[in-house]
Amino acid sequence: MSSHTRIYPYQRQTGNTITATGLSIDLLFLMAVFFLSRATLLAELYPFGSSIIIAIGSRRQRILWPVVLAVMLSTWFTNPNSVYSRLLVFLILGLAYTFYPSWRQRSSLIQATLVPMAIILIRGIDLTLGQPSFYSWVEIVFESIMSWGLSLAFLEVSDSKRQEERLLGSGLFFLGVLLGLQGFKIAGFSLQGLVSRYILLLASLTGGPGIGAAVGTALGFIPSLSQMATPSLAGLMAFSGLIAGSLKSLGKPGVIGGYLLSHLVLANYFLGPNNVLLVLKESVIVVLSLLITPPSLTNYLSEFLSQTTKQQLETTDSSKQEKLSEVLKSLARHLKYSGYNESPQTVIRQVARIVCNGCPAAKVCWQLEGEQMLTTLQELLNSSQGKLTSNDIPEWLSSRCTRCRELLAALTTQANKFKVQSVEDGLNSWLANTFEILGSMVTQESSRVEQNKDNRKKPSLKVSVGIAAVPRHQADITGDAFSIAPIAPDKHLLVLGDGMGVGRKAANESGTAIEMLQDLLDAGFSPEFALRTVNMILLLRSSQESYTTLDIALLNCFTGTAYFYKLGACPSFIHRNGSINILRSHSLPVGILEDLQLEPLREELQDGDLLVMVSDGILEAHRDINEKEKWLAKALQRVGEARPQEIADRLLKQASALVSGKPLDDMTVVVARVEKVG
Amino acid sequence: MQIFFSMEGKQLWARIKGELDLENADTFRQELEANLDHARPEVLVLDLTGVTFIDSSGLGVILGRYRRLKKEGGKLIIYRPQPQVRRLLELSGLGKIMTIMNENGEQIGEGFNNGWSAIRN
Repeated sequence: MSSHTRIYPYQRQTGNTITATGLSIDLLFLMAVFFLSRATLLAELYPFGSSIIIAIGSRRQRILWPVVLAVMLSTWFTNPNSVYSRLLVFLILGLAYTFYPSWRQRSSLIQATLVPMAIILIRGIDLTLGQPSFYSWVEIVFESIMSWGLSLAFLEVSDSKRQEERLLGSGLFFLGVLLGLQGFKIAGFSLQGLVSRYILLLASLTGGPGIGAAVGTALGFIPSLSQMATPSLAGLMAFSGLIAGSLKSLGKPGVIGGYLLSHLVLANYFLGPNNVLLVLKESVIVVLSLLITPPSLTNYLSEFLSQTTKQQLETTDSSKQEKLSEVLKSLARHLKYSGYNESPQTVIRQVARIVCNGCPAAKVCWQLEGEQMLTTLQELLNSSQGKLTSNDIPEWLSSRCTRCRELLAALTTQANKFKVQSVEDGLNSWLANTFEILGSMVTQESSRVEQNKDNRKKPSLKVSVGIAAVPRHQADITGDAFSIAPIAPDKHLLVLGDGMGVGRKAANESGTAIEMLQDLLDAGFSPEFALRTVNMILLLRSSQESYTTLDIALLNCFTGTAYFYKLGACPSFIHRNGSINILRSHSLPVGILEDLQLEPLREELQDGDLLVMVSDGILEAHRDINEKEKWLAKALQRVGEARPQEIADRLLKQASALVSGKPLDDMTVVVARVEKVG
Repeated sequence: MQIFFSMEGKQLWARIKGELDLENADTFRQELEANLDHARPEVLVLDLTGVTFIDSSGLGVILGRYRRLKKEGGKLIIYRPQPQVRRLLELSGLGKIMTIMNENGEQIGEGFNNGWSAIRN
């Protein structure tokens, strides 16, 4: 059983038809390989030929032998020392990939190691049989190391997920080609100089001063790499790249102007008076080439360069988010399954061994959909409590599994066997839920931002509110607290809290609970999670027993759907077309017990509805137990079309009158009228 | 407020008289705690026959003892609350987690249903 599954999509073989475009690209590539192979470092090292054979042998088997031939021809014409042993190295590398195609499956590191092995072995034997010298051995070792590094870079061009590695491999390839152009001249102009300067102008135009200067420096060092010469050109090229790139915003004329200006100023100083005229003539040719370069090419390059930076940033951000999400979910899993002696994975594996052994669908279940199976069975195991039925198994599994009964029996047995105790610790379960929700939120955040952009239509309902409150007799401050606030663009929150006791302590308790609740809802948490969190925080922060009642109405201003959560709170009243509906739900208040049972009530509110929420001081004002709700309902029936604030004041006045102006408890009335927008 | 304690088997009975409010909540808590520590009962029965008024502080003390007994594997029963007290107990959700009994030892169901009720003209 493996949780690592790989699905390889079916791919149709397209045959080996070679198009004219493909052929010309191949020819161009072979030409580049020809120049690349003759590239020399320090006048005696030729590391590029064998490296490109390895890369092509591994990634483009089709053109392996044309490449080997191009490399051999190039080496033959260049005629370096030990030419025959070099040719033998290329031949052996080509044969190795032809006769041992499985070599391509090996890692890049192992494949690249083939190069130094072949060079040291063949050229070492040649050297031993000929005239061995310490210098020649050093030369062979250096060439082997360089070839190994280049092979690795070329191999990574097609495979690496990192953009930097792909750019490095491609950059080294072009650098090698430019090095190979050394000594070729067209009408007296150096081909290497022309190509280098053209690349410099293109880089400045598309990448700006930074990339222009960097490319200029690299190109300026090329002549010094192949010959023992001072890298004076590097300074001129870097400066030209910087100035030309700085004028990128002016387009081609700006870049050309900057390039010519820097050459006119510094060419004499860096290159000496004899070379100035030649370099300026080369510059004119390059400038003309840039002018006829199609904008599509420059646009493509400039988009590629900007995309690289952007992609890197996005990849870093999203991978960080994914890692954070995984960590949080993992923490949640460990907390959730803390009641087991063994890890849930071990338990599930035992179940699978008992039930799925020999089942024809086992491969589909455990190899192709292993992750989903593992998660589903873990959930079943956790929620089982020894009483699993066939209804608990999700449909996608029950429709496929022919051994459902055996699976249920095994799960139940294992659950009873391994479960030491049910996770009753409220803190544990809340913490696990918190981690799980945060983990999901981290990855959903970006899509949430996108969704919010689409939700910019106007709500159809609005809420106008009136509030009236009075502290209990001889008290300065009321222990009741309330908040009326929009949550997200579409929801409106009305909440009334009553802290245990009276005065400032009670006010602090209820105020804190409401503040936390509002913040959590505003951050996008579900009301259930927000309330459980408020409950747990209040419980943890105080060693004394204290609690707060919360009366919550959460109205969706687009649809009119309202959810009511009443935690130790009094009934609420809805006045609609002359009739009064009383809403009751008896849940425990927050902050005193770990386990919070929530029973939300749903109601579709309409235009003109009047919602009244009260603290217990209002209802308890009437001494007759049978009249506590009725008196308020009757009072509400008489309010007519008065404004919410007038209604709140009137209700409070009536409640005060019932206790002769000396309330035994804090009294608060919140009145909200739902109205159509516009 | 007065409390009379008695031990009947494994049940600790607390017969309370008077009002359970902010003023005497601390006394109520301390006496209950002292007797729970001493008697270590399996069940605590709060006889509220003589309680004429209870406020949020009184309810808080009852909830605190329920939490303690639950952790210790015990149980809390409320016996014969007067209608106005029972109303508050149920309004606060205590009726859902504790057993409330009448004088015949029968469990009293929730006097108030959740959901909607309507009063019409």
